[in-house]
Amino acid sequence: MPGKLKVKIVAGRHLPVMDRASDLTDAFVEVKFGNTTFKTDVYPKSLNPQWNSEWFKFEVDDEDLQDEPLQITVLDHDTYSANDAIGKVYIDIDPLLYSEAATVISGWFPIYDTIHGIRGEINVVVKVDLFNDLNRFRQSSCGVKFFCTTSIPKCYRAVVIHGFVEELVVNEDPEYQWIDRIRTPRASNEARQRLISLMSGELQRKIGLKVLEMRGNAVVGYLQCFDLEGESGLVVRAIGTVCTLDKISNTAFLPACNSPSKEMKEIPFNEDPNPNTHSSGPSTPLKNQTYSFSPSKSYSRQSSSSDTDLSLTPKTGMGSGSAGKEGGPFKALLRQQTQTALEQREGSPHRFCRRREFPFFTLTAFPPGFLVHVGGVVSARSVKLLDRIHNPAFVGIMGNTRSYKLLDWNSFNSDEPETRDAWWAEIRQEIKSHAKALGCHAVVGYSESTSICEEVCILSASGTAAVLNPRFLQDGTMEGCLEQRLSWQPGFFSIGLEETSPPGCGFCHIPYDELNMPFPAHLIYCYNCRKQKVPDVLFTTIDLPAEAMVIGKGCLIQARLCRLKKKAQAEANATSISNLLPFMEYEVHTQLMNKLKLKGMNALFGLRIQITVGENMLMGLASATGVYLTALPTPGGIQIAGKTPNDGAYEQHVSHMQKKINDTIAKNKELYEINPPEIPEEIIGSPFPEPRQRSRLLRSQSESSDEVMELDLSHGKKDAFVLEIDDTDAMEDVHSLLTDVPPPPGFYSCNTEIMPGINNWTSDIQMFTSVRVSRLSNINLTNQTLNKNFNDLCENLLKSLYFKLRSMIPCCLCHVNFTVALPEDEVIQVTVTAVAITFDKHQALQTSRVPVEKTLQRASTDNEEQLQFPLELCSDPLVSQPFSPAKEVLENASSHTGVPAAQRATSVDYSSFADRCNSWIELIKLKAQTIRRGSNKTTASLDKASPLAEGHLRHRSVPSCTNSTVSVVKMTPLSFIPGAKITKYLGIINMFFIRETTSLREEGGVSGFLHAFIAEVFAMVRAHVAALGGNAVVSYIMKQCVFMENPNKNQAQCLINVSGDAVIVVRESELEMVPVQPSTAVSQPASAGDVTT
Amino acid sequence: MTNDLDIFVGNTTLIDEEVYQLWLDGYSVSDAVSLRLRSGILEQTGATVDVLQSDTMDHYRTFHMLERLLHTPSKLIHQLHFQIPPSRQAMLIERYYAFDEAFVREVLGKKLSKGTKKDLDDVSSKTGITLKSCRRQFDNFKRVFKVVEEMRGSLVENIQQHFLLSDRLARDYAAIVFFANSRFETGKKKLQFLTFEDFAYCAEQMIQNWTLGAVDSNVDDMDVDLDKEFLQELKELKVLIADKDLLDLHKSLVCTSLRGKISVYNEMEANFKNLSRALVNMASKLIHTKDVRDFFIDLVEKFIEPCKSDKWTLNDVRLFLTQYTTSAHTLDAFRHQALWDRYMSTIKSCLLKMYHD
Repeated sequence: MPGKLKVKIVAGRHLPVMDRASDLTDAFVEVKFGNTTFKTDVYPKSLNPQWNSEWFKFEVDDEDLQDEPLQITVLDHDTYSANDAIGKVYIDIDPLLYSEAATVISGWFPIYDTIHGIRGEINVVVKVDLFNDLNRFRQSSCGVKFFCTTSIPKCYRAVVIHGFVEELVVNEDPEYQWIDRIRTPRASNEARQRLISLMSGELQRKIGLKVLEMRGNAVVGYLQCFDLEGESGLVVRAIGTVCTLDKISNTAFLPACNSPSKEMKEIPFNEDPNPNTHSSGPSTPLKNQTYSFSPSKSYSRQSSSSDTDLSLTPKTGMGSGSAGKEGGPFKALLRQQTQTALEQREGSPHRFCRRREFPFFTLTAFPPGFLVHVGGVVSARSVKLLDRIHNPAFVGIMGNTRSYKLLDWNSFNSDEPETRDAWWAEIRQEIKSHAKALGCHAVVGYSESTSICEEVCILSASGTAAVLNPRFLQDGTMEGCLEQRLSWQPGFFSIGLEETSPPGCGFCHIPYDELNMPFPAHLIYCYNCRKQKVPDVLFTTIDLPAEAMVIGKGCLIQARLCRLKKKAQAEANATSISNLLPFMEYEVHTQLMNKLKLKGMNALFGLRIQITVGENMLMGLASATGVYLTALPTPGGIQIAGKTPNDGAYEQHVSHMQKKINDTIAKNKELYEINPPEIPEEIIGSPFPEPRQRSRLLRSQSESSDEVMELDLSHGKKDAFVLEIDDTDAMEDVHSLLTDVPPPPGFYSCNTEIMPGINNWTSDIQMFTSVRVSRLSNINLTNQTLNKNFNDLCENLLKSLYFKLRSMIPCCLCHVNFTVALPEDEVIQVTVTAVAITFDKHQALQTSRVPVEKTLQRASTDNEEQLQFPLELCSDPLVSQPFSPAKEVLENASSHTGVPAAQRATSVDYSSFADRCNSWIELIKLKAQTIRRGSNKTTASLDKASPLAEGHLRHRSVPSCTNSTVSVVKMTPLSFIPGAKITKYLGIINMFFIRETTSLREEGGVSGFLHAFIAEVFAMVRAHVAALGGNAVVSYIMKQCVFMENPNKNQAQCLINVSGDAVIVVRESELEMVPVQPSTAVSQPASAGDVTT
Repeated sequence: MTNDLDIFVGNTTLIDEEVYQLWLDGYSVSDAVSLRLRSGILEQTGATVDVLQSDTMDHYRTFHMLERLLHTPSKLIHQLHFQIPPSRQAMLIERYYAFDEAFVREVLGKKLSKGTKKDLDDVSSKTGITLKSCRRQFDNFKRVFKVVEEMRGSLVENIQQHFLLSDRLARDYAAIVFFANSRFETGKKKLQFLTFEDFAYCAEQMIQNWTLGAVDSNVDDMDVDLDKEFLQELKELKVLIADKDLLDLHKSLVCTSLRGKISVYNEMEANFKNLSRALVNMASKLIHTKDVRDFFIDLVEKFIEPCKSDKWTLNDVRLFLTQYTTSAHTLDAFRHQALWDRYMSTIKSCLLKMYHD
């Protein structure tokens, strides 16, 4: 009996009138868990009942605790007839099952009815007493943490990243059971909701077991999806990345939640006086990243070299004090460094096996150094015919058994229960081999999806082939990972690798063999280091790595494509779809490439290609964020070539188009501030000091012996992309290229976590979902009209968003996520979820100024101490490289300029990053003091030390939530809340709702119906988060929005599945309220030169 | 290609104040779109008409869903369905309960019944306010009326508490409720020069001095109904005009003190008895419901119009009424001093407020 669930029903409010005569309601509540049900007393004649019930106690297995939802039903008591249900609340008690998450669920929940929507609210308190179960063969996996976030969650550090985990559960869909013919829609909907809740609970538990088996304690990047396969059943599947996470209990060491990846990119721009550039000083939250991380490295050096006391502090003593806690692992790290390097060469330990099977990672952002090289996007699709899922439990009630032959290349037997598993295994195998062909041993940013129409199902998987640093993946190197986690400085990883890859461009370098390329590509020497080859363009499914060096801003790039297909049955249908797929892929790719060139950019991040199958068409929608990577060559323009050169008018037309395209490219370059330094005219007008500096360096360099390389580099410019206009189709394509309107001034958009080039986010965010359903006119559908319609639909939707959010300007739409569905013939449904974040143009200027001034003020104080410290860091070149922030910062600033290391010291303008150096040196100082005090080994001194650190870092460990009156819950698809810091993860939110109506017109038609429903879903998510004690949802995603209507019958039905991570965030402004410690204790060096020379 | 469905749902409910006002003003979506077009919004934002149409529809849908909650503002504050910042909630409520001057002057003092509601199309065509808006405003009046009608305690406070209105708006509603309850006639042509503000001021004065609440703060309807006992007693004041000696004495006292101070002395002296009779007669008849209804007409016909025709200035009226009230105290034979003050202080405030063009 390993768990006791306790539930108390407190009160209700705003209940609907159930008795027309009295205009009142006699409400009571049924509380059900598993097969046990309790009831409250009837609270007569009130719309605001106060039940104040006793504690209802359920004694249950922890297995059930994981699987079952708590079901609360509010009813109206009726003496003469059956009691009427008012509505239900399902509460997932999973967050109460792990110790670090929520301890109690308490609050107001909307009472939800699948026919009437929200009908009042109920106040419930839920607690769980969990007894320790020492049974080794247990079926439960309580305690495994789940995160939707596709990066290492903010208050944790990854000790080990174990690898891929997947599982799927199948069942009969209640909607298609024979009983559905005799039960009410409400009963059917509720059966479905409950089943899916059960299935996802079970799935999560099973995944948890795998995690425990792999010796992990958490799943990051957990993605759970439903396949509503209609008659053939219901599949709930999930993938994720198993990690061993360690909670960082001392908040002083936490990174701020603000886009960590921003920071490195800013560095070159830091002292830029132009407000349009995006620099940040110590006073911006972003900088905190630097603060919190860089010192820990130096810290570890310090502790290991001089302070033996610290190393003795046991690792289990975490949470007691900052110094002791941090000291242990670091010490260990040093000792193990060589050891692990050896291990690594000896080959993988046996624990590796499982991961080896599929070396996939659902993460899209990584600790620096994790990603060594990126090969490119790998994807695999497969068309399958759905058959009834063999599930013994439901055999009894299966009515008609239509059996399909399976269209399956590997000829799997349809009777095999593990069919779906096998399908996915096959696809994953393909992905793996693709990755191998690219010379990569791993796939990152991995995701899987399906598109189902009738009995045809397209399974898709995609990811980015990559070479990872093996040290991360080994269990023995936990400290290495820990170090990674703590050090956001690039270049760290050069150690232990055969070749040193420069920080900002290493990931761009090709992992495959140049002479044995898997596909034709232009390879050029890296613009950064000039040592390695890079491709001319780079497509990836991951977020922009933190260390990547980018010029200008990014933008959302979409490729949209429709293809008509004949209506067909079964195999014929599947065959025609699989025949179409390669062409679609090719065209999507071409469109992406053209649009990327048109934007003057050379890399895509967050690429997501969705292929949707409908009755008579296929839709392809690819979204990605284009950026200009400094390491890659400047993209050539697009050149149009006519086929009939003799026709004068035609030629004129072509040249006109060419001009238009050239203009667009020029305009886009200006818009996204892409001004690579190679073009001399732009130097003058450039708002970036970085390109200026860089070009200066280039010139000086060309005087030296690097002439050849310079020539080699320029080669890229001539490489224009030729588009041949040989028929009307091609003409259309060119036209459609030009129809994409840029967002209005003040707006930017991307589908990645953060926008390169923008960092000064305000806390003004607006998450939204927008849905459009468009009916195509039936007549004469051709591919072209279809394409145009689809294109217009998407463009208009975007325009509409820009208009609606105009009050937030200047703002960026982040994580723009489009999904396309083809619910019936000639009907296209597009759903967009994104978050609009306002940024502050002016703040950047101010904050960038501050540090410079500070430097000057503090320049002379406390000189010897800070000198001695960094110098010590550099004394041992081998070890200090990974640790020394000075080196790295320098490298970062200068390496991308292509100057040989020896030249750096003289050619780099120190003042440009002096303030940057400040920040970390400040921290080193700070840490040094903390350590000194900490080493006294008395708690008192530890206490003394930490407020200094916290005060300075503007962190406060006690989360204080002000909004006590109205609990505002922020939602975002991003993994962070701008201007706020996540202090606690409360658990995963995974909710599934069905809403149905038989009075569609009365509810305002389809728009009114869906509008209300989505608002209700948001409300229920917010209520659950608030009840967990949270105030925000991060990594929110609407995974499914299936809408069906039957206007003739005045009916509609919608299914929505959403998930995210419930968190507690503390606003940075609140943190800043804490008085900042006098900064005199922390002094600055005169310049970075002191450090390096 | 037509958009069957087109929605935008924000985690924080997006509210456009301009569109909200158009919605409150009862414009249809297409009218609202054309009005927005005229505001030049497209030029500012570079959007298209389709976008504007879709945006307007979206907002209208949101407002439609919010309307149910706005009927009981406390629900809007506590509901979980729409996440709206408190300041926005206050704006929504305040604007929803705001009313048009032209409309309120038409309905003020009328019974808030179905019959009146049926006549709203006349009001609409007369005022140029859309019927939809008229209905909303009427329903607001009626809703507030129904809720606070039978309630104990201060009318203004009750309204404020239940409808979360600003102090100013709650006071206006108190006046509307008070007028509707006593059914004061305000629509006659002679009263057209009076604004709602004038009436609201008078209502406030009457609530403060003439209702049950003015003497006993713990009775039902304390602020809504006039104090019947007081109205009954007002008959006693008749002595001031019935007793000829008293009337003469009163006149001479007033005249003596006003000589040289008032610009219309002669007219005042000539008219004193008429004016005094008018004021006292009104008092004595207020026990009848019909005379209560005609209260403002009487004030205008019997006092304001004669004074205006004699070109009294506002200051003259003030001097006269002040002196008229205080002089009665020195009349030894007149024993209803408290009653007189309770009556006259309100009459004086009302008359001064109403004495304008």
